[in-house]
Amino acid sequence: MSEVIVITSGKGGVGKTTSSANIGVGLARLGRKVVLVDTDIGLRNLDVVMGLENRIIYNLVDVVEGSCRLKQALIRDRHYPNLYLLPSAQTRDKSAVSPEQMIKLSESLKPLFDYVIMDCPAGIEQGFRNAVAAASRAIVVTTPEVAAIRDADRIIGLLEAAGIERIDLLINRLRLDMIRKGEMMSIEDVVDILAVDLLGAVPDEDSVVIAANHGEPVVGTDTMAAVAFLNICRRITGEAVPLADFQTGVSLFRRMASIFRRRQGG
Amino acid sequence: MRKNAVIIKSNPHGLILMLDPDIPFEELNQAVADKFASGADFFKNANVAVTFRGRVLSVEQERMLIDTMAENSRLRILCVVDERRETDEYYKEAVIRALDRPASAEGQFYRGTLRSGQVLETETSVVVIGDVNPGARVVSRGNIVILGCCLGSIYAGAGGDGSCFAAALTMKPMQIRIADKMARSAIVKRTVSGNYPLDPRIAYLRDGHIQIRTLSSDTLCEYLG
Repeated sequence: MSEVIVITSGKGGVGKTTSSANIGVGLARLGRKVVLVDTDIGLRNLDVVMGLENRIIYNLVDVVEGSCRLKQALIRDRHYPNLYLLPSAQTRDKSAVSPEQMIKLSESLKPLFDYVIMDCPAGIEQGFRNAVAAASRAIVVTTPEVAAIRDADRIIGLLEAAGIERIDLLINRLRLDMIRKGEMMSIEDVVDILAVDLLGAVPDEDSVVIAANHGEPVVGTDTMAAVAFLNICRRITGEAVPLADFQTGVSLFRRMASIFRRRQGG
Repeated sequence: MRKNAVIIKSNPHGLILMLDPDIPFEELNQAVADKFASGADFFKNANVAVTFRGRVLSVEQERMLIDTMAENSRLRILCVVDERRETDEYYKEAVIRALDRPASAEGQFYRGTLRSGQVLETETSVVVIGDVNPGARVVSRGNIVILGCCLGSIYAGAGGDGSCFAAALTMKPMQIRIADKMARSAIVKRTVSGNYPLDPRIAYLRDGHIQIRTLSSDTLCEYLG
């Protein structure tokens, strides 16, 4: 049974594309057949984060307009043979595709993959409507910042209105040190405000940015962010990975930090 | 209406329709309708394969003729046997006409940097005075010269002319195509600096492969020779 999941946020720059790439890689590591669809027509990024930009011949608009066959446009990942990317077009804009066409596209992708992941553009205009059209499930990405949470709240409302069956929350860029000092909202605060199921939280780490710059998502390394993304993927597949897992992550982090401090002191 | 716009012949598998090549299609379609309507009893509900001869038909026209035949008789048309000869020749000619126009020796200039999503397409050779950024594209029937940094996709000899070349002061294209050959860059670890040293290079086809060489008098001689 394949699922179409849209990854969205409303606000730009909170990490939709990075999350999409990492969730795609994570699900592929768990042995699932995954296709990442970049629906951000005109501002494509997912191919850059995946390090596949030099392989693009055909794109989503070509498929929708019938200029090529679907399989000609799918790009296989460099490391995971069961992970594919359907890149977006750079020379067109959002109006090149309609929600009906996106539904048709995902109907033809569904038999081929376990998960169809739609990377949604920022905003609530046509790009958003295209990305959401075919989805049965949504992952709302937010950061623990007031502005991002406002937009996430609006997006959750729109997703509910669009009839999305399941909406999960992914909190990105968590700064554990700031939370400890009370300068940033904690996971609990964010979940309280938005009142949707929490899928997971990802700490803010340099490794995520460095990996994206190199065109290789962070999942697969042993950083905390990578572990967090992999746990999120496990939860997507239905595995009951306790959310407390993250708390042990915090304590592990603290333990390491305290060891480090002790060493410095000694 | 002309008398013999359509002549129906039979072969062991079905019918051959000899079509008049000169009359307008609407007239021809009407003639087919009349012919089959008058012969409906003769054909009964036989299963036939149909072949069209004497005229090049588009897919659309072929479909219309078949619909006309089906409407005006009880024939069951199983398939259309395509003899291809005329159609093939027609297509071949059209393709040759389109592709064989030699890349003219003329050229033009483009002043400015091409940014992501911008496409520059030219019928002649082109000199870009500026950079071609990642995500931008230059397509030319002739040669491409970039007086700047080439990081996007370039396509020289887009009409199929394998003797075309592409040159840039800094040649780091995402993808490069010359005529029917394509190459893509190796994934390089992107550095923070974004600083690319000046390193003029020329790309051309040699033995069916794209060669990217440092631009020097030697390589120019090799390209020309």
